[in-house]
Amino acid sequence: MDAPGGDPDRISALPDDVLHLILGFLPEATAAARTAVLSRRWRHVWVHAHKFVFSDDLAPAAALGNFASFVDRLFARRGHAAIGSLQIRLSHHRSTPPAKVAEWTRYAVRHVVDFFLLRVSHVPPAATVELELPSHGRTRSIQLDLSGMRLRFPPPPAASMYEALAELALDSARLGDFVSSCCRRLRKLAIGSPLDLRELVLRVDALQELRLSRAEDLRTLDVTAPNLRVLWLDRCFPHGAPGSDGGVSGNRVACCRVVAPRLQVIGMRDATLAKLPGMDIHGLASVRCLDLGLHMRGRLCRRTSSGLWLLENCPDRHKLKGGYDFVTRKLPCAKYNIAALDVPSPDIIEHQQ
Amino acid sequence: MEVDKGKGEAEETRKVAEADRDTVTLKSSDGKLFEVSKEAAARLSTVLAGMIAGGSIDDNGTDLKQIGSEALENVVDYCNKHANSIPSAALISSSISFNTAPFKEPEEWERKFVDRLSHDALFDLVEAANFLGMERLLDVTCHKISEMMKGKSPDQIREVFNIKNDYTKEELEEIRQELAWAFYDD
Repeated sequence: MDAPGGDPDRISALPDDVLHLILGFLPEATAAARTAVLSRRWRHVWVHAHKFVFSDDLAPAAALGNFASFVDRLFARRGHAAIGSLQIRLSHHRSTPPAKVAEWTRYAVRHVVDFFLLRVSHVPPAATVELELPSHGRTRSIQLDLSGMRLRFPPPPAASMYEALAELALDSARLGDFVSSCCRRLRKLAIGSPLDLRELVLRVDALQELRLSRAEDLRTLDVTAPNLRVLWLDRCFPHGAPGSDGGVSGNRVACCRVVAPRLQVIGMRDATLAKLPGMDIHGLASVRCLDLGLHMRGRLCRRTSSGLWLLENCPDRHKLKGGYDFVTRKLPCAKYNIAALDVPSPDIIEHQQ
Repeated sequence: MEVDKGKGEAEETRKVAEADRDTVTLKSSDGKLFEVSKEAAARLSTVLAGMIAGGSIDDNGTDLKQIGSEALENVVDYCNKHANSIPSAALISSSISFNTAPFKEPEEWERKFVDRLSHDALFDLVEAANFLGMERLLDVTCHKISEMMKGKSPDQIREVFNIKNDYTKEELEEIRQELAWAFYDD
């Protein structure tokens, strides 16, 4: 794989399109940008790479001042050309003022065709900083990890404005209306550690996968998704949510309702969910896999397991063929198989270490 | 994989109805003939798919004047290997992971396939994949080239690819100033 002295320069002879693809595979935009100094042929090639990853993570403090202008200049040079994939990972608030992050986000959802990731891993200096999504977007998959930065959605419009959006992952949002009204084609939705997410009402026909984690402010979860296959809930609802026999009303879970006739996989990491009075999942008949974080000691303990609640409430369990995969991620990793599905009692769950 | 045919034999081939054949014959710039499954060719190459659909496949050997025999052999080899490789089983658990990027890392056999190529053969194959509109093969070969650049200084990259630096010192300094962020660790 070496090119001795007299050999021709094959790479510089490749068409720009191909070079854009090659540069897109480099791990960071800086690596792509450095090719500008190779030769005159390479002076502007990197500007139109297919993918960019910007990160201020490893830079010395003295260099941080150059980061924002680097990104800005690139966007300015690209103008309205579509970007395949864009990732912006921010670790230092000194590198990028919040207003700049908002501006880049607006640019991104209008120009990124495939995948846009924004990760802000520093705590913003002012908790009031808001990021507002524009009313239109062309991106297929968006992932926003905002570390407490608030996200504001555009007011629900009459028609879908994020027509291409198929995947959305958020760590901070009040977003039910936005998703239900703007993202008709959304197939995957992941929400983690949302701020003040008390109510999530989703009506998305296309939705196939919903993952919701650390939504501890949640009081109402109301999902109607005829094509939902995977439902994953991890530490949702307030801790120690009271049962039907009453409790502090401010802490009450008003509703946990999921209508999903094609549901196949349920994952849960929350033992308290078993006791929720309003828990109502329509669609257990088609469930094939339960992925549960259970408290186990040899045998399953009925009282602490939401998994058993699910098994016991599975209306058509007699008709099920095949097996539930019953997986716990508690260490040491163990797998539990239920051999006879018509007897969903703890006694028949065998420990197959 | 290479099928050298005499003239008479080629005449015979011509008579076989296009629809009856499940392979297509491709002819390299240096006149060598290769056969490849029609299904794989149509699935992996937008250009060949277009030619097959449009009926412009020549049973005597469709001329691909831009592609040398070594590169065409690699193309055909790739198509056959691709047809035989079993895609990673779509386990139900894998549907739980959240998709972050549409590009799938090269599979083990694809890595081996490009790793064994000489420098020139790799570039010949990139050009062939680009010409034939073979998206996956282009991805895999370009990914390989990007790995040859990864972690290297501009000087080292010039050396690997034999790129001649035609900048003046002043020009280089100007670019470094402009892209200061990209050179912060120099």
